Amino acid sequence: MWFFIIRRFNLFILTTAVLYFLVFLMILALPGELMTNISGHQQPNLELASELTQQYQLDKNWFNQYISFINQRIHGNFGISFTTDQPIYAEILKLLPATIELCIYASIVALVIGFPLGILSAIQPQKPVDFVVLGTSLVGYSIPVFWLGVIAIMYFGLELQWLPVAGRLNLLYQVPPLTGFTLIDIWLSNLDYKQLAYRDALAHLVMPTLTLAVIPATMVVRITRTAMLEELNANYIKASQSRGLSPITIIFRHALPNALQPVMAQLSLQLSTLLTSAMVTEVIFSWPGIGNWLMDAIYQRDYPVISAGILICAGFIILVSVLTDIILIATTPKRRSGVNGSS
Amino acid sequence: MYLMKNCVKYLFKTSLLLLSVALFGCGPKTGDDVHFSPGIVYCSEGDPTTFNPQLTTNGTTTDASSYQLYNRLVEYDPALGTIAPGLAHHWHINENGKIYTFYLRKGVSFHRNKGFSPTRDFNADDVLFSFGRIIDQAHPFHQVSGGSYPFFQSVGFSHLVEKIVKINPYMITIHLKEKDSSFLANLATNFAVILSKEYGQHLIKTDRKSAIDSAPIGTGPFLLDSYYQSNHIRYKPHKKYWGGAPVIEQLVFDITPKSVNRIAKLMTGDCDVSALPQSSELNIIRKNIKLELQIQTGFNVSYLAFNLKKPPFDRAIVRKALAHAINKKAIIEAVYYGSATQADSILPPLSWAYNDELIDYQYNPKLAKKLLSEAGLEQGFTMNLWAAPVQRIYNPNAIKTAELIQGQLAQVGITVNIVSFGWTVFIDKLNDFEYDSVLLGWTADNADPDNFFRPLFSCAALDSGGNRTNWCDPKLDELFTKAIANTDKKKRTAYYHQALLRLNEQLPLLPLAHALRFQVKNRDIHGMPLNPYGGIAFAKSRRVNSSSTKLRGVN
Repeated sequence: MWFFIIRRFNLFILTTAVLYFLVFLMILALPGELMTNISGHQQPNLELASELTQQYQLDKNWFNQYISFINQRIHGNFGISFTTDQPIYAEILKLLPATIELCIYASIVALVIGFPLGILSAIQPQKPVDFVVLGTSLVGYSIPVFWLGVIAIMYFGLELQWLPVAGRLNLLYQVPPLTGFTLIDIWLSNLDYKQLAYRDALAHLVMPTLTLAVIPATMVVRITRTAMLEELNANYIKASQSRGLSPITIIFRHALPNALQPVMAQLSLQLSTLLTSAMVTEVIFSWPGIGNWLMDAIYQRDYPVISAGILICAGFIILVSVLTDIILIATTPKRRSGVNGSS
Repeated sequence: MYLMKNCVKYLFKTSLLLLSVALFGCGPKTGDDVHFSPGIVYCSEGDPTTFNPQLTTNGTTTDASSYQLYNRLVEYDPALGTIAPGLAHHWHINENGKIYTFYLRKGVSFHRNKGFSPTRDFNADDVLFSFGRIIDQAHPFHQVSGGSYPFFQSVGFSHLVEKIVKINPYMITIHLKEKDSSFLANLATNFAVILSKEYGQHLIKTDRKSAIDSAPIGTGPFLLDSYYQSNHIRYKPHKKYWGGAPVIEQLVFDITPKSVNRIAKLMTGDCDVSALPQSSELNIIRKNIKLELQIQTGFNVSYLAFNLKKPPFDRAIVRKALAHAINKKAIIEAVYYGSATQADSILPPLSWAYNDELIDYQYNPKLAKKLLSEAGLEQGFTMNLWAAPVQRIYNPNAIKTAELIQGQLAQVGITVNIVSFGWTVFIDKLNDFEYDSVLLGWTADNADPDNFFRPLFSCAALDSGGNRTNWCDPKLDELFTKAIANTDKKKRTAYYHQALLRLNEQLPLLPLAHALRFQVKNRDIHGMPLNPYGGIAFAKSRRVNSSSTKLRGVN
C-alpha cells in the first residue's frame, strides 16, 4: 500500500515539475521583458528591479531561473497583476472558493441525476427505457455549454424572469465573505433574514449549476451503465440470483458497489472537462470565480495572471487525480496488481 | 440479462422521486413578491480609483463618491441651470468680483466610521482644511495620495486663490487674485468637496493619513460601509444628514463592466438602476415595460488626442491628414448606433460659446494621402493608439472605435497598434505620455464653456493629466485667461470663438462625437433625474412598489 502511495506521490511531483517547466517556457517565450512577465511589475524602479533579479535569479542561467521560479510560486508569490497591480495569490484565494462551490454543486447534481438513470438503463438493456436514457444523454453530451447557458439565460432569465442570470447573491444581502462559499457564509452571518438570503443564493445557483451539470451527468449515466452491465453479467450475480436473493439486494448490495469502482476512476479523469466547462459557465453567468478572472486576463493580456491561472487549474487537476487514485487503491485491493499500478 | 420486473418498478420510482426532489430543490423560487429589497442596487461600469473626488477627474470615481458621500459649498441645479445653496446657505461677491463671502450652514454633521466619531459639526475650519489641502504645499495632507489635484490644477485654482479667511466659525471669505467668472461654477463641480478637519487630525494622530481618501468621512447623504474591488461598494444612509436622511436603507454599487450583463441584471431585478446602456440595447430596453429609459443631450465630447511631442504628430499637416482619413460618420453608426452627433469642435453645439464657422475635416482618404506625401510620409508609418476597455459616457466602446480607426488608417498606409489596460492602470500610465495617440473624452461638470477648455488644453492641465495632447500653447492660455476675466457673455464668446478657431487650425486633438446620455432604471425607482453634466445622486431616490400597491388596491 505505502509503496503505491509513494509511487503516486513521485508521479505528482514529477508532473508538477513538468507543468512548471512548460509554464516557465511560456513565460520565456512571451513578448516583453522577462522580469515584467514573471513578476508582473511593469516599470520597476532600480531597487525593486535588483530585488526581483535576486528573487528570480535573473542574472543566472535558465535552470537557476526555473528553480527560483518554482521556489517563488510554491511560496505563494505569484507576482502582481498587470491590470490591478494587486498580488495575484490574494486574488486567487478570494476567487477559488466560488469556482469550487460551483463545481461541487454541479458534481452533486450530476451524480444525483446520473446514477439512477445509468442503473435504470443497465438493468433493461436494449429496451425503450434504455434507448430513451441513452438518446437523451447523447443529446445532452453534444450540447455545448456556452450555447446551453445563453439559451437558459434568454428563456428562464429574460423571457420568463424566473431566475437571476448573473452573480452569486443579490447585493442587498450583506453577507461578509468569511469562507468564500456563499451558503456557508450566509449560515455564519448574523442576518435577520437568512431564509430569504438562502432562497436568493439558491436561485442564483440554479442556472449555472444545471448548465454545468449537464455534461458530467451524461458521462455518469454512460459510465454507470457500462460498469453496471459488466457487473450484472458476472457469474457471482447469476449465482446470487439462483440462491433466490431479492433483486434489490443483488443490485444495491452486490453489483453497485463493484460497479462504483470504475465509475469513480473514470469520473476523476473527467475533472478537467468539468473545470473547463466551469470556466465557460462562469463567464456566461458572471460568476466571480477563477474562470471569469482568467478570461478577463486573457483579453487584457495580463501574462502573470494567465500563467498563475494555468498553474493553479492544472495543479488542482493533478492533485485531485492523484488523490482519487490513492483513495481507489486504498479501497480496492484488486487495483494494486502490477498492471493497474503502473500507470 | 435476467429481467427483474419488480426491481425496475422500484428503481423507476426511486429515481423519479430523486429527480423530482432534485428538481424541486432547485426549482424557481424567486418571484417579485418574495424579493427582499430594503435598498437600491446601481449597476456601475467600473471601479473607483479613490473615494475622494478632489484627486481625480474620472467619472466613475466621482459617481461613487461626490454626490453620495460629500457636499460642496454650493451646488449646481441642473433643472434651473443656476448655482444653488449647498453647505453655504448664502453668499455674495463684492463689487470688483474678487472677494467671495460664504455663510455656512449650521448643524451639519459628519459621518462616523469604525475608528472615528465626530465630536463637532461642520464649520469654517473644514472648508479651510479641504481647500488648504489643494492649495497649500505645506498642508499635512497635500502630498497624501500623490499630491495631484487634476481638476484644480487645470483651472489654476491655487494661482487664482489668494487666501481663504475665516471670519467666524460660520463665515468665510475667499480672496481671488483676479476676476474669474467661472469660479462659482467650479466650486459647484463634483470635485470641490468638503472633508472633515477633525478626521484629518485623528488620522495624523493614528498615523493612517492615506485613510482620508480610502475610508472617507464626509457630510453627504450616504456613508461608505464597505468596498470590495471589482465586486461591489456598499453605502448606508447618513441618519443625521442635514438635507433629510435618505429613504432607502442601503445603496449598493454592483460593479459590472459588461453592458450586456448590466441590462440582464436590470431585467431580472438584481439591479434597479444602470449606468451607460449601449446604444445597441436601447430597443430591448424600450420594449420592456418594467424599465424606463431616460435620455439627455449630453455635455460631452469624445476625441482622438495626438501626443504633440512624438513625431510625426508634432507637425500639423500629419494631424490634418489623419483627420481626413478618419470617417466619423462610420464611427457614429457602428459604435454609437446613431445615438450621438458628429463633433466638429470640442464644444457641443448646445453651448452658447459654440463657433459654427470652423473648417470641417471631411472624410477624404485621397486628400489624406496627398497630405501625407506632402509631409514626406508617403510610405506610411506605424503608430500606437491607446484605448481603454471600459465604457464611458462619451464613448460606449473605445476599443471598437480604435479598431475602426485602425482599419480606416490602414487604407492610407498607416499601421495602428492598439494598446489597452484596465481603467485605473490606463489613467495612471497616460501621465507618462508614452502614447502616440489616445482615445479619450470629456464630460462637462458644469454649463460654463470654460469647463471644456482649461481642463483639456491649458498648460496647467499638462501636469494634472487633463491635457492629453502634451501641448502647451501660450496663445490659447492667454485667450482662456481673458475669457474668464470677463463677465460679459458677448466678450467671452468672442474669445472662445478665437480659441476654437486656433484649436481647429492646429488640431491637437480630433473631436469625434458628442454622445447622448442615457440612464436606465426600474419604473419603481423614483427621485432620480438624469443630470446632463454627469454625476449620479441617490440622495432623494426611493422605491415605490407599484405591483404591491396595485395588489392592495384590488383587495
